[in-house]
Amino acid sequence: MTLITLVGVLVLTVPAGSPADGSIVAAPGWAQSGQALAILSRPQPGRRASPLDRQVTLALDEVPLKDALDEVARQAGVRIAYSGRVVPLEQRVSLRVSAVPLHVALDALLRGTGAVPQLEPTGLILLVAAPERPVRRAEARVGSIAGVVRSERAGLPLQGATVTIVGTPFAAVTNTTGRYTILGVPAGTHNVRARILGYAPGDTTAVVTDNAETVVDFRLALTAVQLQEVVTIGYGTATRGDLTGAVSSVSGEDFETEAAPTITLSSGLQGKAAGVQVTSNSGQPGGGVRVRVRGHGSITANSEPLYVIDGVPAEQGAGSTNPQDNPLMAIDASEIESIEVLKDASATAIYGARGANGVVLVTTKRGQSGEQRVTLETSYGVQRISKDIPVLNAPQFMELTNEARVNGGASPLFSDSDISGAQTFDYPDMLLRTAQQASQAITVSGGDRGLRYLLSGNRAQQEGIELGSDFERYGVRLNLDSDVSERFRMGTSLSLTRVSRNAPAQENGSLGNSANGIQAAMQFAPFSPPRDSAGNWIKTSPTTEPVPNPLANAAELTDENVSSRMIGNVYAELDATPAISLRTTFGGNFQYNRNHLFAPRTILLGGAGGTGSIFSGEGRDLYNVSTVTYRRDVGTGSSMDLMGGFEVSTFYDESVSGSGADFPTDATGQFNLGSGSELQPAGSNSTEASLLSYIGRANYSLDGRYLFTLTGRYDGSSRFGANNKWAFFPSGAFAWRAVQDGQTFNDLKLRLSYGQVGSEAIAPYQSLAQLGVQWYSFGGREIPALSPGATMPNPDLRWERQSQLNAGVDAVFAGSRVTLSLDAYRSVTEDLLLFVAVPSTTGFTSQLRNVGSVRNAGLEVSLSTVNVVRDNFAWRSTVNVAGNRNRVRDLGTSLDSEGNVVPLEQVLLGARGAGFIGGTTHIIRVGEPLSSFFGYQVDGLWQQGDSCPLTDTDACTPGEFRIVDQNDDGEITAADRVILGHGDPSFYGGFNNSFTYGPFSLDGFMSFVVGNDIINAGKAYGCFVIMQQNERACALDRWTPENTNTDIPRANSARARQLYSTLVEDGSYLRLQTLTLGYEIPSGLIPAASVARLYLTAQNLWTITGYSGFDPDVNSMGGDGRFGGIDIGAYPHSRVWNLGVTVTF
Amino acid sequence: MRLLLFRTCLVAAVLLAAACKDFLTEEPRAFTTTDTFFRTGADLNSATIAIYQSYRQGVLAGFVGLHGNGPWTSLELASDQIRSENREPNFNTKSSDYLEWSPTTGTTGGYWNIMYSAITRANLAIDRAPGIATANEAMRDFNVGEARFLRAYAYFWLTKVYDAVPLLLTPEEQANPRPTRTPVDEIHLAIIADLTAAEAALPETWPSVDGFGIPTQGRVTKGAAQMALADLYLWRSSFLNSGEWQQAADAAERVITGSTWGLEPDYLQTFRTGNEGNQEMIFFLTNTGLDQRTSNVFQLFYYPRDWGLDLGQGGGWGLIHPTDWFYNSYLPGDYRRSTGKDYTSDSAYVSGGCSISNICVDPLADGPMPWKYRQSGGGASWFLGDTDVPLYRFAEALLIAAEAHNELGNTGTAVGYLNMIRARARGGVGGAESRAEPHDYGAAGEPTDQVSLRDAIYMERAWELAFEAKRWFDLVRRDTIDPGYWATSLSMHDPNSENQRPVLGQEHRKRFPIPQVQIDANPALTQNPGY
Repeated sequence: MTLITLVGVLVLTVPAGSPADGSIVAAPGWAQSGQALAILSRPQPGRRASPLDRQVTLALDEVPLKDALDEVARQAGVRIAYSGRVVPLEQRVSLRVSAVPLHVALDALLRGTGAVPQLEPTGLILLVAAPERPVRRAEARVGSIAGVVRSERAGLPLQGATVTIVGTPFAAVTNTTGRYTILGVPAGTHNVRARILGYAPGDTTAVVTDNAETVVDFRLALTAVQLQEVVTIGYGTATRGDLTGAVSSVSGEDFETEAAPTITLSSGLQGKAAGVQVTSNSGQPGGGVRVRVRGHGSITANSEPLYVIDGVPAEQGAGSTNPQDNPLMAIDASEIESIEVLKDASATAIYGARGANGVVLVTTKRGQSGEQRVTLETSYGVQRISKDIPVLNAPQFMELTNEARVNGGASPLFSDSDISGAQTFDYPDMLLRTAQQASQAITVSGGDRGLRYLLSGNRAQQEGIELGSDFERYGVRLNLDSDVSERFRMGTSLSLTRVSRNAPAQENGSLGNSANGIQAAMQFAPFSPPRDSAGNWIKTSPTTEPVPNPLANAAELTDENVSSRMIGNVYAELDATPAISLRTTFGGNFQYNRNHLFAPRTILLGGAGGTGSIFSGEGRDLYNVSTVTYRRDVGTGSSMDLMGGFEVSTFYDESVSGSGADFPTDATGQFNLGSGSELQPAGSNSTEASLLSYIGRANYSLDGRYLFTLTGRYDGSSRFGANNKWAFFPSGAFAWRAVQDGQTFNDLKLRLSYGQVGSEAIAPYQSLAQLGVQWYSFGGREIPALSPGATMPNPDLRWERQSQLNAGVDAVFAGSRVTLSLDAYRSVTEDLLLFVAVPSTTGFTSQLRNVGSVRNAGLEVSLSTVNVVRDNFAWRSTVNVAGNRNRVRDLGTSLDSEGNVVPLEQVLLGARGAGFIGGTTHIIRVGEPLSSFFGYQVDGLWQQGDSCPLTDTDACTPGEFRIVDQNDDGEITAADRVILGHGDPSFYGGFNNSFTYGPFSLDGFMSFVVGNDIINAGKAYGCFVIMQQNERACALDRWTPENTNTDIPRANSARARQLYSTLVEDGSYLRLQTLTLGYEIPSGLIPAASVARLYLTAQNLWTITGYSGFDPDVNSMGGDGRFGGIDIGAYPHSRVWNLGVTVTF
Repeated sequence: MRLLLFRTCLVAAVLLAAACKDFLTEEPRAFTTTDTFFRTGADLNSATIAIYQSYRQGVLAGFVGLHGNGPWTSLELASDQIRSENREPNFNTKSSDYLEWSPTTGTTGGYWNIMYSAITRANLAIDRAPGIATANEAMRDFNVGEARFLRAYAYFWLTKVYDAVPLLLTPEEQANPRPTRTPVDEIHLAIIADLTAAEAALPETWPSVDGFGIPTQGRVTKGAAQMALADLYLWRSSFLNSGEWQQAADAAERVITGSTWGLEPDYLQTFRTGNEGNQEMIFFLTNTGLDQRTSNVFQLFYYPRDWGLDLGQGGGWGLIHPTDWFYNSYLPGDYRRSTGKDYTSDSAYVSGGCSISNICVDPLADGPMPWKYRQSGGGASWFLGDTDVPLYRFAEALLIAAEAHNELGNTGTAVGYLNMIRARARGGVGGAESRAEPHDYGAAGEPTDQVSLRDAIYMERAWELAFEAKRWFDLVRRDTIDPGYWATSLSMHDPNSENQRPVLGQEHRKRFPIPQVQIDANPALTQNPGY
């Protein structure tokens, strides 16, 4: 790069190019200041269109005009020559425009300077002094207009909005507090318009009088259409209009209003983006969620999407459904700028071997140059259980127990006097409470061109509605961006968080004698007090099937999971040439987990002398990615954008655990494990994995109408077999912007993409021949011995490979008031990683192999509409609906008795051992979706007088389940089981309505799920009237000779628990998830505050469902795609009332 | 190391990633792989010890090992000696009691994995031993002897429960994914070859520690090989009617006449902790009670359900109850039927009670329950069972010899061995009592014809070897000699015979079904007829 200095004129040449991440940055000028004149070499190729029509996007705040011009030149790829004599180079200007023609930007920048651009035949733009204008008449009467521009719903000040007086050159740009002032406005009535990217323009009339300031405030509504919105894509950004892939976006404001206060971000995603299904494991604070992007792509491997936080991939971990491993748990909603979900192969192929389950990109807020801004947020809420399920009282329990025992061939247990004298203890009521929650956040941001900063601290605390359970998070974030020099930028994103949960074991209760939490309370003997006469806890329920005392556990048990996480990166970016940018990022995701468990001897789990353990695990993922971006225009409105890079990642985990039992005292808890008299072995482990990747992407835009994207990633992973370490994942996409700024359609784009992505979500070392430690003992001494493990090594192990075809339409119509996005896709995952049983005679029992195939196909629709916009009132709606059909296509093969290779048709599974309902609950069958339930069809109850077709006539006893003998062999056997339902919905989505009226806003967000089934496993312990522990009030409606019109069987203590169709219920629901009433506090009420907002939110206010358990939003088996739709005593959901205030100074 | 590579690869990124080939090679640190094993004598010894572990398996050994829920209690419950708690809600345990097993359900499939696990580890040790250079060749020979015994013992179990199974004697043979079932006689020949070799190779007794400083109490000896041979010939002679009684008697008498083994003076102390590895315990699975890796919970099958609840131990399982017939069958005053009240009792049986929180719930009132496997510590940590699991005892050698001689017509010798058992029982506590019962056989004029004596020997086996998972095999094997014995005993003795009746006549139920998962994984396996 040569720099030639001439005298008088400064010429800048910056061919097209912008930072690799596409973010808007302040202009890096190239010129020396002063009177010098410089000409940069590198002349521009000839162009047909006027360079003055090229588009630029600017976000400038109080920068010297010189820098502003530099930036304009760089973006537009033109040379701008000017003289310091004509142009006041040091004058500070502010301008925020998006994709406006160059001449508009120059006009705005040069306004008032007397300089105007003049296009030379060479393509050079010369800034010359304007011809003398008529001098303003001295008698002109002028006033000013000033005010604040805010967002409609949250009332946040909008920085960088342009306020213009229509038909005049008068304009101003808002500062960080949203304030603007236009001086020297001629008196009279004017039409004033405020515009900013992403919001619908606001228009109003203002009357300006001489020497007076007219206040004109705006509240801008988010537009339905945000084609110019910058969205984050993998390793870069793009404007929405240029996207060729399927990407859903959720803005930070959506979290702040629609879902406020979302204690955990992942659940806040529910219903927000089409094709992203979020299912809660339970209602526990900080409980787990299952996030599925376009269905289950795997069977046994982890199907959780890849989370990328400010560019740092943070994997949930192979197969982990532990919520503490979900990186979203560690982020406070107030930190979010936006979340993008990459869905189709065109979007995800850049993540190659980790893209098959979709990618969730989280972008946090960053500092903007301008004056410092301080935002305080605080909220407080109360929670109550949203639904009660009554249980039997003591006399009812005793009577039914006697009845069940007599019917089951045993003797009655309780005498009449026992029954009449029984006192009832309502365990569920004693376990539940009105719980509190609170959150606080403070954010300080600001900076200048040299350094922009955002520092935030936040805390969220939530008690559980079950005693003993809670959730707490602390977080600190520091985001910095610095323009070190004109060509070199550096920055960092850093977040530190600590998340703790108490009593996580209550989340998915389990059933029977391992039940805990609310399920244990519902099973506990209602005649027994929780403590004996001496005041000691009664450890287990004095019922036939004993259950641990949930009150004792809640009060005495220490069960704390703490996860501390640091996610951060440092980036450096260099414009090597105006067209070529180099960027390198070092990132790290450090996680430290620690679990404390202590059960004192006063409760069942504590045994005779207490038990305790500590687990401590550390994860350290490091990565570096270096990319080269080359961007240039290649003709009329055409541009080319190339990105290539190399990425290297390492994943390291280590853990250590210790435990003890039989301590001399309970007082030292888990903190003196060595004092336990019972020897407990310590444990430790360490795993490493690594990933090497080459990435590349080419975008080509022809005429701005035809958009092409080619993406490829070549990944090498240590996790796979020696013979299959590397794989290539390509994708291609095409989009046609059929209409831009049209009449019927304001914008219409058609998209088509196809590509392949992979999943490497297995634990390390699966391909190796591991030796395991086998403990034996001789002479009372423990001896560790080594022998091969039970899993047969597989050197051919490789990725799961998903091919996905996507077709989509984005349309904007009705005067840009309606945006519609429609996507249809079909994906096939092959080479599924499955454990296959091998004959034990080989010395192994299973082998991990690439067999099997799953298909997902679906439709997604998102619709945003601006229904009404009037002076003071606006109503906007968004709705998204997605339907996915999952089918197992292939499960590999087995051999038939002749030795022929035949397809394996099905695999039977029992959820969590399924001891609670006697074996199988789920089936994987070719041609059926995952999460299919498998059990006995029940066709009512046997009634008196029915003829019995079964050999075992006892099975036809009136009041017993009438199980359908599917094969008519006269016996009810395992062969009579059929598929009883499916855990995945036909369709699901969300529906939001926002109303604003003056300072008030009302947001109602509804989510819905339709067509799924749930195994209400708790009913097997509540409505089967077996009476080995307490049951639910439904047992009162049991069959008796007098009460025959019921589906509850007769009381019978000998009844087996199996998966009967009576346990399978429709899980569809429509829920008013959040209803938020917001109020903009008038300015001045809080001193120094520029914005203040007060809101009241009700969560989970109202639900329509036929599900008889606590809540249909349940998934006790977490992320395991094979076991969806089962409720095993899950922690109930709560209804929350929350009051909050946000103040910005 | 990895971090260094990380840096190297960053540099390489600029050049080319060829230098990063090793970056993707896995180098596990928390475990080793087979590539680096079997180099030294210590490796071989470790691999041999791992074979023992196949029989006990897992952390909570009680659930999956040979003395685990399925393999151990299936045999107990299926016999006429034991019934399940008839209010036991668990269908799986009922199924064994009612003989309702099938290829896909029930608990009779567990032996397959346990035994082939042992066979795999034994084959590996036997295969690799010749290639191991060691200064301690004697130790290497001991290891091979152990491996051959433990392999033979596994195959013997497989033929007892499943009949013919694939006979695979090397790792290469095991690599075949579709082996077929080998006829039982062929397997038995291989077992005899292994046991004969083991008898020759194994020491009469071990030094207190092996060549690598590891204690030897609990490792197999010549006597174990002799016991297994005696047991095999007994099984073949009765169940298969092979007429090898002399071989059975010879093998048993090699144990009896040797100087290593004998009866303990106190029957109950034979099983008690603190007396492990006594002169009567020829082959047993060890348990330390130190932690869950080397402890068991199998004893909890026998404990009353309310026990331990108040200690936070989840209670006994209350699973294995003596049938009334069996509990009442002892001669009055037999020490082997002594019954105590709680877990401090030193008795053969114990009665549970309503002890929890002073609230008595009838189903928890179990008893009398077997109290043979009384763990130490007064129930402080009931998941840390420290009682060893007897597999071959000297008493059984006497009973095998007695039975063989009776079948051979040597009545006097047979009665002599039988009465050694009874005499010990009369010795009661510490062997110092002079109880009246059980009196010597014949002293009250009992007939000494072959069938009567056979009855007596079988009954003595039931009393002496009660709760050692032997009775089911006795019922089954005697059925060949006395057709109907199996079904008749069950129907007359077991209160659950009502439930068993539909299947009692079915001959095929004397063998367990081949687990369906194994047939699915290897369709060359055929199912036993009738299933």
